[in-house]
Order: sequence, then C-alpha cells, then structure tokens
Amino acid sequence: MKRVALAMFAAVALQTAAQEQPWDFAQLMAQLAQVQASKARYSEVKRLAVLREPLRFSGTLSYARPAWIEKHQALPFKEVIRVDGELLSLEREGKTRSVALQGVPLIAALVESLRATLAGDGAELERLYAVKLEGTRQRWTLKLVPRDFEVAGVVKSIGIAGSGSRVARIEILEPGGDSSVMTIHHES
Amino acid sequence: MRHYPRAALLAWFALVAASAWWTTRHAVFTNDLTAFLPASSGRAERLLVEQLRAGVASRTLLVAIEGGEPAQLARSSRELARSLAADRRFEYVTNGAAEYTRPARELTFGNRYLLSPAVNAERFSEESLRQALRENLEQIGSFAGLAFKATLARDPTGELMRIAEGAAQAAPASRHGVWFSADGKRALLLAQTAASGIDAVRQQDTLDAVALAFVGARAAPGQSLLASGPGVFAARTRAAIRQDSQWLTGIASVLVVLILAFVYRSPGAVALSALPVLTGLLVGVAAVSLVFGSVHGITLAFGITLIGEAVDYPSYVFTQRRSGESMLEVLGRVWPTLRLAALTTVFGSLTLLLSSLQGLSQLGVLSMVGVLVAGLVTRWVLPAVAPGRSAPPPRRLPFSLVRAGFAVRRAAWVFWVLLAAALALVVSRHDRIWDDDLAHLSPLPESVRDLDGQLRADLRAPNVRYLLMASATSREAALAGSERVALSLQDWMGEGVLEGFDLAARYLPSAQTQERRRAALPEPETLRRSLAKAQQGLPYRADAFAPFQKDLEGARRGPLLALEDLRGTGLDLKVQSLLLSRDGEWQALIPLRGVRDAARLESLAQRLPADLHTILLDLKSESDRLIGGYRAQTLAFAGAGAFAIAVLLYVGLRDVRRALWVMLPVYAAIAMTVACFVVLGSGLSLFHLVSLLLVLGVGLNYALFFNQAEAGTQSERETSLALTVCFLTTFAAFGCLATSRVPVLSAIGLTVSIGCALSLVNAMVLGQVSARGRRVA
Repeated sequence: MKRVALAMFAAVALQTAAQEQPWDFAQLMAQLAQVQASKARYSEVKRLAVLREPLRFSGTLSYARPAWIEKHQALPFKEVIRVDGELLSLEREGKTRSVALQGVPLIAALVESLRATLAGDGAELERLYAVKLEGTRQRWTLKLVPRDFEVAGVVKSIGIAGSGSRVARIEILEPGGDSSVMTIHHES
Repeated sequence: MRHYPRAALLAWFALVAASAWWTTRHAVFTNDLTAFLPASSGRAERLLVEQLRAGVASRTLLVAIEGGEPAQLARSSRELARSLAADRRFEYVTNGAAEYTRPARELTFGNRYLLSPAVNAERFSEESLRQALRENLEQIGSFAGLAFKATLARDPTGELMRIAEGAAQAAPASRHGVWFSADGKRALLLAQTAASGIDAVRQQDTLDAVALAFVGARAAPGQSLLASGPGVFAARTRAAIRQDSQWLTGIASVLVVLILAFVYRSPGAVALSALPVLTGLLVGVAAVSLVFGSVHGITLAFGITLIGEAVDYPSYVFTQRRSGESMLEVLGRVWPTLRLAALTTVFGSLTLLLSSLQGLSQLGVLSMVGVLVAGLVTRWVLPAVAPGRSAPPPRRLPFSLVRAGFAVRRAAWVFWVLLAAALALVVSRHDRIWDDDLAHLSPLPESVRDLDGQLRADLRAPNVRYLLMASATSREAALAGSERVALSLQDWMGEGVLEGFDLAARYLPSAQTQERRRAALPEPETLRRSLAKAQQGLPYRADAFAPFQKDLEGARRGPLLALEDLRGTGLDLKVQSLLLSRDGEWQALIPLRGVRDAARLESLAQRLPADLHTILLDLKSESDRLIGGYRAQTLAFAGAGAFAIAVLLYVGLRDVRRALWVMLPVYAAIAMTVACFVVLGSGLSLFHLVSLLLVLGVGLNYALFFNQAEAGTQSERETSLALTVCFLTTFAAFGCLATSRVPVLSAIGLTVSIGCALSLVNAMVLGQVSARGRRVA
C-alpha cells in the first residue's frame, strides 16, 4: 500500500514538474542560443502579384554565433549576401557593395528577424516585433509582426517555423499580397 | 573777445544738433559687403556676394545633437524637428525622417516622367521595355527587391531610381531613420530661418528658439546642441564683439578716468576730455551719410579706431596748464603744435578720399571730418566750458620723459640696430607679411569655422569654393542654359576633373526640357502594344503594368512642373538658392563638388559656348583678391598720405631736417611693429593696417610735442606730463582691447599698443630736444 502511495505521489510530482516547465518563448530562445554554427541548403519561393508564376531560388545558408550570416544563392543566378555584425555586404556579378546596417533601418529590421532568431536574442526580437509563439518543442511556429510603422509598410508578418533548435521555414507576407517562403533542408 | 565763448558754444551746439538730426533722420547703416568690393568685379560677383549674405543660402541653419547613444540622439532629433517645424521662426525643417522627406519624394515620384533625364522616345520602345522588365525580374529575386518592388508596377523603367542617382550623392548618412554624421556621433538637422542671415538680432532670437526647443525635447543627459550657418555667424559675431567690447571698454574707461582724475585733480576736466572725440564722431558720421547716403558698418568700426587719436587733444591742453592760467592762455602756447598734429592726420586721411572703394573713401571722410572737428572743439569749445583760472593745476610727475630720453640717447645705437634688423626682416619676408584670407578677418574663433566645415561635410552640403554661373535674361533661359552646362559637366566628371555638382534644373527642369520629355511619352495604344510584345516570354501577368500605363498617360496629358508645385517640399528652397535674380538678370548657380583639377576645369570652362554667358568662380581666390586689392589700395594711399604729411610738416616746421626727425621715430616704430608681427608669425590683415594708420597719427603727435619741448624749462615738464598721460591712456585702452578673445579686436589692440609704445620710445631716443638739451645743459 505504501509503495502504491509512493508511486502515485511520484507520478503526481512528475506531472506537476512537467507542468511547471511548459514550452515557452524564453525556452525556445535559450535553446536556439545553444547553437554555435550551422550550415544548410535552402530553397526559396517568391509569389508576386505582378507575376503569373512564382520565382524559385536556391543556395546555402550559413550562420555563426552571434552575428554572422551568409546567404549564398546559387540559382538562378549567383548572389551572396553577408551580414557581419553591423556590416551588410552584397556580392553580385563580381561586384561587392557594403552598407552599415545602422544606416538602413528598414533592412536592418528584416535582417534582425533572422539573426536574432538564430542567435536566440529574445529581447531584440521583442523590441522590433510583436512576438507570438505557437506549437510544441518539436514543432513550433514564431509569428513576428513589425512594431515600426515603416517596416510594417513593407512587411505584414514573418512566420518562422522550426523543430527544437533548428529553423526549418521562414515565410514573409507583404501587405500587397506578395509572399516569400524559404525552406531550409538540414542534412541529418 | 568776451563774446567769443558764447559764439563758440552756440556754433558747437548748432553743429551737434544738426548732425544728430541728420544722423537720426537720414543715416542708413548697412552691412552690405558690396561697398568693399573692388570696382573691377563684375555684376555677377556682386550679385553672388549679396545673395550669399542675404539670400536663401544665408538663411540655412545647420543643427547637430551630439553625445550618447545613436538611438537616443535620433529620438531627440525627432522631438527637436517636430517643435521647430511648429515654430513660425522657421520656414522649413528637416532631419531626414520620412515625414519630412515624404513630400519631396511624392512630388518627385508623381512627376518622374518630367524629371528623369533618361526619358526619351527610345526609353518606351518594345526593345527597351523588354530589357527593363528582364532586369526587374532579377531585381525581384535579389535582396534589393523588397524596397524596389513597391514601385515595380508603376515604374518598371526605374525613373525614380534614375532621378535619385543624381540626388543620392548629396544625401547625408542616416541612422534610426534620421540624418547622422557618417561616424554616428551626431544627429543632424537642417532648418531654413524666416530671418535673413545678416539680421543678427532676429538670428539670435532664432537660435534661442532652437536652444529652448532642445531643452523642451527632453534630451538625454550628456547630449549637447551644436548650430552653425551664416545666421549663427552673424549672431555670434554681434554677441562676441558686444560682450568683449562692452566689458573691455568698461575696464579701459575706468583706467583712463582714473589716470586723468589722478593727473588733473578736477572732475570737470576729466569729463571734458571726451567732448572733442564724441563731437568729431557724431559730425563725421553725419558727414559720411551726407556724402554717401549710407554708412557702412565697417567704416564705423574702423573710423572709431582712426579718430581715437583725438582723445589725446584735450590731454595735450589740460596737462600743460600752469597754475592760475586760463585755458585760452594754455592754447596760445600749445595750439601751433596741436594744430600741426591734427592737420597731419587730416592730410593723411585726405588721400583715402580718392579711393575707388566706397568703403575706403567713407573711412577717409569719417576720420578727416572727425579729427578736424575734434581739433576745432578743443581749440574753441573747451576754453568756453573748461574750469577757470582757479582750478588746481595738474599734478607734477616725479620723472621726466624728456630727461629720460636724454639719458637713453647714449644707447641710440641700439635703436639703429633694431631698426636695421626690423627693416631687413620686413624686406626679406615682404611676400609673406600679408594675410588676405577673408576668414581671418572674421571676429569668430577658428573653432566656430571648423565646426561649420564639419557640419557641412556631415550634411554633404556643398562647401562652396568652385562655382559655375550661367546668366540669362529670364528664369527659363537660365534653367535651360544651366542644363546645357550640366551636359558638359557630366563629360568632365567622366574625365575625373570633378566629382559632382548641384543644379536647380535637377529639381525643376526648364519648360523646354520638360516639354521634350513629355512629347517623348508614347500614346496609350502604342505603349500597350510595345508592352504586350515586351512581356512575351516573361512570367509577368498581362495586366501587371496597368498602373504604369495609367501614370504615363497622366503625365502625357498633365501640366508641366512649376516652381509653385515645389512649395513645402524643401525642393523650392533648393531651387531658389541656386537661382538668383536682380534687375531682370538671372543667374543659375552650379556649385561644383570635389574639384580635382582646377587648371583643367578653368580651361574647359573657358571653352563653353559664349551664348551661355558662363563664368567660373573660385570664391576663395576671389575673396583673397578682393581683400588683397583693398589692402594694396590702402597701402598705396597710406604712401601718398605719408608724402602729404611730409610736405605739411615741412611747411609747419619750416625746416627739412626737423620734419625728417619728427617722422623718423614713427616710421621706425611702424617698421618695428610690422617686424614684431612677422616674428610672432601672424600675417598682417586689413585691421592691422588701419591700426597702423592710427599709430602713425598718434606717433606723429608724440614726436611733434617732444620736438617743441625745451629741456630744463617748464615746457619740458609739461611736455613730459602731456606725453605720459596721452601714452598711458592710449596704452590702457588698447592694451585692454589686446586681451580680447575676438581676433579682430585683439589685433587692433595689440598693433596700437605695441606701435604707440615703440613710437614713444623712439621719439624719446631720437627727440630733437635732446640735441638742444645738451647745449642747454
């Protein structure tokens, strides 16, 4: 009898403990902050009102903590976008153009949605966006709505979906109905 | 003879009343620099100087907030801009934030088919459209696509981008949505004041408004406000000169009054000392306005310095009064020398009258009339009002300058060595003595000008040095002419002669150009067909570019862009500052940026078609030339004045040798003073030169009085006292001025105090009296 009582007590206690640790934004951020570096292929589909059919792009996406991102597009033409701290550089047709992110707040806000997510920088994300987390640890979706008026003029919302500490899909919706979906193919 | 004092007083009163009446009723005081422009300068240069001083450009206020985090600086910048925009003292305010740039952006976008230099018939052909659409497809995929896509359906040929290319080079850096310096340390704002840039009083009021708004913006601790621009210069100049001259004049006056009170032992005599010079100044100003219609501010400032000599006249009389003597009796002895002293200055200024520069001839009239009147007042009015015979005689000094001069005469060889050294120095450095940089004439410290240069660089505002001006008889013709010049400039940029330029026609093209662009826009049916063919094989929806077709048709049927349409966008101010007009003549200004090859630029500019009436101005060398010309002329007239003085002294003293010995100490003192400045490494400006004219006047008086004194007699003691008092009062007054932080004031003060001290010492050492004194002794 005593054993049964003990087992029941243990079960209740465990259950309570599990309830005390629900899946939340802070946990997701903490988990993402563990990732030191990552590299994966991606494919991107852009749907535009002016186009009959979507445009497809693909390449590799690399990240190193805390603020280094490289989007290396291979198809249909080569283009490399690199963020290194405050510096954004664009390499196309052999020419590289660099710009300080502080000088272009609109682009900075968009870059931050990705960088802060990958780095698990929750404070920065919440500064720029109204953040809502849905789903479970295995299958989560982060919905970002821009707080800044100017950013909101270009982007309606950004949906980032993932599993554990991996980002699997980034969907950008624009006010005019245009959209872009990037799917990230992790190798393992 | 008994009635003479009353007659003199009546005449004096009538003269003062008439001058005061004329001055208050008719005298116009101007700060117009054109009075000082050499006559050889063309109308265009005059117009430009006028506009730079009082036109739209002069009303530009550069504001910066520095200290602390960029995000906080941006917040303060927004707050400040908002409160300034609501203030009627500002016509236009911007900090680069969207709310301020939106009107200009929308206007530009709405009129892109009239504004874009790329618009021509070929631009909308099937071939060009297909090319543009294909490029757009790549752009969408690229990172830049997000911002660019918003206008894709309306502007597939990218006219907005094409217009922005021209303007982008002129835009400041931006952080957190507002303008910043490139290093992110300063948030920047630009304001257009309602007050003219030369209206120092209203500009000060405007600056106070900015400071108040900054406090109201609840700036974070550690943030500070910086402001610059022509209006700030005007207000600061006024404040600096006023503060320093008030403060220093106060100290100088107290010192002078103390010296005089100590020596005269009579308050009446002290008070009367100011009478001749004040009367001279008043009548002089009235005379200038009578002759020229207006009095220039610089004339007034220089004139006051020049007639400063007249302060000494009553001193020469009061100090030489013997116990129980009446003023008339003193004058009976002193007047011949004093008359000569005053006349030398009058003759010296006579030559200035002949100057072709109105400013200089004004100066001549003021100092001539001023000194003459001061001399007459000393001679005729002072005796009528001065204390009578019973007044105590002036104090005696325990030393005698004349005797001291006699003592140091043994060391006269030192003087000759120093004079030779000074002359050698001046001759060997004669090409480096002058400083004709207009900036150095500014009463503002260098840090203020550095800040202006920095803020201008931060804001990418043109720091105008090289300027092309195209003149015409109407605004349209000026715009059209400048567009043709711009075509050549594009080629020169390609050659690397310069980096860029600004142009009114960029914001408001000439009607002719706008019409040509409008005529190049295709009919709707033609466009529809070309577009449909261009889209073949591309993934665009058939109706994707309906907004483009609609906009283009709107532009084809719409009106041309007029200056009135630019109002409220900030672009109107830009256009107005680059288009000047007066008396039916129009000038399009084209400020050039990053000129790398000035010589090549000059030869290219000379080859521009003659019908464009284009001139290339190098404002720096233009202003140097202006000041250099002014200085050269002053120097030439000073030389002629010296000759006139020599003739006068010969006539007055009836002896060539004595005349030479009176002049030698002064000219030696001037050479030594110049040598002092050469050694100190500071070039001589106009202010030094005018101060040296005062030294000449004062120094001649010293030498003349030394000359008439006889050693061992009562006149020796009196002369000694007179010179001591005159020198101490001059030295006290100008010594105070020399300590000023305002470069101009300290230059005048330093020159006069050094020059007068050297004049006195030289006169002592070389004084004729010592030669005779030896005979007596």
